Amino acid sequence: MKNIFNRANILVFAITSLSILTIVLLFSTGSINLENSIEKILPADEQLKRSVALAAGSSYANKLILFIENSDSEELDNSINEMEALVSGSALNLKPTIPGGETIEEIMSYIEENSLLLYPYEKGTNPFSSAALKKGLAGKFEYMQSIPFFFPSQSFFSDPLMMSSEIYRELAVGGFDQLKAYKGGLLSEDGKAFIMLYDVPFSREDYESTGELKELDLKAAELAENRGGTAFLYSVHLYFLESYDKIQGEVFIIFILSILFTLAIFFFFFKNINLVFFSFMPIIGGVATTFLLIALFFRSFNGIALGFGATTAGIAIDYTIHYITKINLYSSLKELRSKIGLSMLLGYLTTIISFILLPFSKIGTLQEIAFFGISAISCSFLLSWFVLQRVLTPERCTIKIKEINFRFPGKGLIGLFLIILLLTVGASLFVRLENSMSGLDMAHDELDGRIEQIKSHFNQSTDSIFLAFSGRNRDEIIEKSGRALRKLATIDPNLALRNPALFIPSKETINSRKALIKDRFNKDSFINALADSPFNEESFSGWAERVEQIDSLELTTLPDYLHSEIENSFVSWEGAEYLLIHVSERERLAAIGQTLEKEGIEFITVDILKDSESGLLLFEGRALILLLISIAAIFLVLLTVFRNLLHAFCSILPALCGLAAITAATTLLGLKFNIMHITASILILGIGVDYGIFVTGACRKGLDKREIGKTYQSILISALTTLAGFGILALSSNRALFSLGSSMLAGLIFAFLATYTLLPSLLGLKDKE
Amino acid sequence: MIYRKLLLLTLLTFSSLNLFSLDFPQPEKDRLFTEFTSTYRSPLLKKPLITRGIIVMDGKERFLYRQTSPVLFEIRKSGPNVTYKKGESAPIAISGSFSANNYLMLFFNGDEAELEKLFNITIEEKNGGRYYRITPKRRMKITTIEIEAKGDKISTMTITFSDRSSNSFNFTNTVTGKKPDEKYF
Repeated sequence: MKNIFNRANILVFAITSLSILTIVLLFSTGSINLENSIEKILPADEQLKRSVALAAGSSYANKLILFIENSDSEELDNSINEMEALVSGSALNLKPTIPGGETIEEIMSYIEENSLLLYPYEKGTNPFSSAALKKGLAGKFEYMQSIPFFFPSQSFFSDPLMMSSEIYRELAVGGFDQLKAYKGGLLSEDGKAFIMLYDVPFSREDYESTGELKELDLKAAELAENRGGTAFLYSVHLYFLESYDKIQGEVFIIFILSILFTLAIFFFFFKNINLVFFSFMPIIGGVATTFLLIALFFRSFNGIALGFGATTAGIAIDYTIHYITKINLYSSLKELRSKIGLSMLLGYLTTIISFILLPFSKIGTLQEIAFFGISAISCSFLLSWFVLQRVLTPERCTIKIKEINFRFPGKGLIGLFLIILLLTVGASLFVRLENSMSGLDMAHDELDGRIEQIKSHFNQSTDSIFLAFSGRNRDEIIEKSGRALRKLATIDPNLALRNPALFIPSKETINSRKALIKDRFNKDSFINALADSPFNEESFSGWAERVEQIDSLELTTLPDYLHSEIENSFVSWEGAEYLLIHVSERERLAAIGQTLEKEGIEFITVDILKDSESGLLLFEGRALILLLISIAAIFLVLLTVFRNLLHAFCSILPALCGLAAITAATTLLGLKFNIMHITASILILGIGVDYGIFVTGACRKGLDKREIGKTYQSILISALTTLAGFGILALSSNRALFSLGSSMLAGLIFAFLATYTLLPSLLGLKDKE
Repeated sequence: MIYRKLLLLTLLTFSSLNLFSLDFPQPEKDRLFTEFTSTYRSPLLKKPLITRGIIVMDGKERFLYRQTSPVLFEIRKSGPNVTYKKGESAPIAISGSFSANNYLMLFFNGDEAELEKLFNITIEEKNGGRYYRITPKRRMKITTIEIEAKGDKISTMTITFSDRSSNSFNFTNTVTGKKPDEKYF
C-alpha cells in the first residue's frame, strides 16, 4: 500500500487546510457580536428584563467604596488624608458622591428655607400649637447660643420654629447620613472606620481600567498598613476582574494541558503526531463553518452558546477516531463502511436528536446551542465522511496503532460496577437545581469579606437591590413613594429608607400641607410666643407674613447636588419612568415588600439575583424535560432501526449510566445542578449513545474478536481525548468550568465503564471469545 | 446644625497663624490660656446674649474653644482635624476647607497682598498697649473688628456686623508662654 504520509503531501494538505480554516475562523469570530446578557439565557420574563434594565440604569451600577479602619483616631485622619491624595492623584477620574462642606451648607439652607413645606405634618405633630411655638423659639435661641460669632443667614429667618430639626430627623431615619459627612466621607459611630463613596466612570467589563483600580486598592492597603490600620476598595468591578483574571489564567493553562494530553494520547496509541492534523481537520472544519454561518446570518450570538458550541468538538472527534482506529482492519473504504458505516451514521443521527428538541424550549440560548450543535456536528461528520475518509483510505495508508488486548470483565467486576451504579443512581435522586446566577461564578471570599466588614460599620452596599415606584408622571411617582415610605417609617423605623421625595414633595402633598398650615397656624399665637421669647417681635415678621400667604408659597430651587441625586434616582424603561430607592440588604427588601403588601401599596422590587431565580429554575426544568424527551426519542429511533429491544437498550445504556453519574457527582460535590451540568448531560447523551451504538453495531454485524477489540479501543481513545479536553476543566476555580469538567469526567468514566462491563454480557460478546 | 464657616472663623480668629508682618499679638511660644466673656448684641434680641468660656492653645495644632454657659459646647483643633461637640453628644467634624466668603481667613493666614486689597488696618498706641481697627474696603458681613492688646495678650475684641449686631469679647486671667494643663486636650 502506498503510504501517503510523505512530507510533501502532509505539508501541502495541512498548510492549505489549516490556513483556510484559520482565515474562516478569524473572519467569523471578528464579525460575531458576542452577547453576554442574562436575558437570553432565561425564558422570556418581563420582570427579569425590567430588573436588568433598571439596575443597569441606576447610579449604583458603578459605585465604589473606599474603606479605612484604624483604632487610633489620629492615624485614621492621617490615613484619610493620604487616601484622598492617592485617589485624586489617580488617572481614573473617580468622583466622590458624598457632598462636601459647601454643598452640605446649601442643602441645609434649602431645608431651612423650605421648612414650612418640607415639614412632615403627616406624622401628626402640630408645630403651631402654643407649646410647640414656645419650644421651637426656645430651640432657636439655644441654637444661637451654640454658635460663636453668630451671624444670621437668610435661611435663619425662614425657620424660627426649628422645623428643620424634624426634617433632619426624617432624613437620618431614612439613612441620609450624608449630612454627617466627615472629610468628604462617612465616619462610623465608633469613630474607627471611614468610607468614601465614588462614582466609577467606566463599565465593569473595562478590565484595563479596573486593573488600575486594583493597583489603587493595593496601594491603599499598603498605606493603611504603614499606619497600623487597614484599607481597601470595594466595587462590582473588582469581582468581574477577579473572575476574568482567574478564568484567563486557568483557561490558558487548561488549553495547554489539553493540547499536551491530546498529543500524548495520539502519540501513545498511533505513534504518529501527524494524525492529529487529520483527526482535528473535520472538527475544526465543522466549528469554523458554523462560526462562518453565525457571522453571516446572526447579528449577535450568546457567549454561553458559543462556548458550548466549541465543546461539541468532544462529540465530533468520536467519528474520526472510530474510523482511524479501524482503518487497517479492512482492505477498502467500501468494506470499512459496510462494517461500521451504519454505526457511525446512527451515532450521528441520535446525537443530533438531543439538539433538535432544544428549540422547543423557547429560550434564546438553548435555540442557539441547538443551532451550533447541529451545524458543527453535522459539518464535522460530513467532512469526516466525505473528505477525511477519502483522503485516508484503507488502500492508501497504513497506520500503526498500539494494540490493547481487551479482556472482558468477570462477574466480580460486573457486580462491583452494578453496586457502584446503584449507589450512583441513589445519590442522583438528591440532586437540587441551581437557583442563583452567582452559583456559576467562582468564590470571591476576600471580596465577600470586605463587604461584610463595610456592613458591620455602615449601612452601605453596592448590591443592585431596589424598591421602585412607577406612575403616569413624576409627580404621581413621588406621591406614591412618599406615602409608601412614610408608612414604612411609621410602622417600623428600621424599614425606613432614604427618600428623594422628602426634598421634592408632590403637588398633592404640598397642597395638603398648605391646607394643614392654614388650618393650624395662628399669627396672634405666634406673636404671643415671640413676646415671651428672647426675640424681638419684628425678628420673624417676614416669616409670619409668608405663612399667612401660604397659598402662593413655592419651593425654592433645588441645590445642584440634590437635583443630581434625584435625577439619578429616576430610570426610564420602555417609555415608563421608575423611581429607584436603594435597599442595603435582601432581607430588608423582603420585609419592606411584605409590609407594603399588607398596606395595599403598589410597588416594585428590583433584585436581579432573586428575579432570575424563577427563570433559572424554569430554564433548567425545561432543559431537563427536553433531555428526557431526547432520550425517549433516541430510544425510539434505535428501536426502529434495530427492531430489537435489547439492542436498542444496550445502545442507550452507557448514556444513561453517564447521566446518572453526572447527577450523582453534582450531589456528592455539594453543587446544585446548573447550566453547565445540563450542557455536560447533552454532550454525554451524544457521546454515550455513540459508544453504545458502536459496540451494539459491532455485535449486530457479527464482527470478530479483533474488530470488537478495535471498537473498544476506539471508544477508549475517544474517551481519553474527550477527557483531555473537558476533564481538565475540573481543575478550574470557576464554578461553571468546574461543573462542566467534573460532570464530563464522571459522565465519561461511567459511560465507558458501562460500555466495557455491561454490554459484553448483555450482547453475548463474551461468547465470541 | 452649625454654621461651619463661622466656626472656622472662630478657630482662626484665635489660632496663632504666623507670617503676619503687622505685629499682631501672638501668644508666647503659641501657648495660651484665657477666660472670656462675650456679649452679643443684636436687633433680633431683646437683651444681649452673654456667654462665658475658656480658650486654650498649645502650639499651632492644638486649640480648644470651650463655651461653658449658657450652652456647653466646644470647638477643638487637633492637627488638621477640627471638631464641634455640643453637650454630651458625639463630636462632629468640621470641614477644614476654605470658603471664598470667609475673608477673615485671609486676614489671619498672613496673605499680605490680599489683606491690603480687602482691608484697611490702622494701629494706634493706646493706654500702654495697641489698638487695632480693621475695616473692609468693600461690603461684607463684618463691618469692623476692633482689638485691644498689651504685649502678646489680647484684652478685648469687638466684631461689628452689617446687621448692626456686635460681639464683644473680654479676656481675663490670660496666661501665655506656659504649657496648659493636658486635661484640656
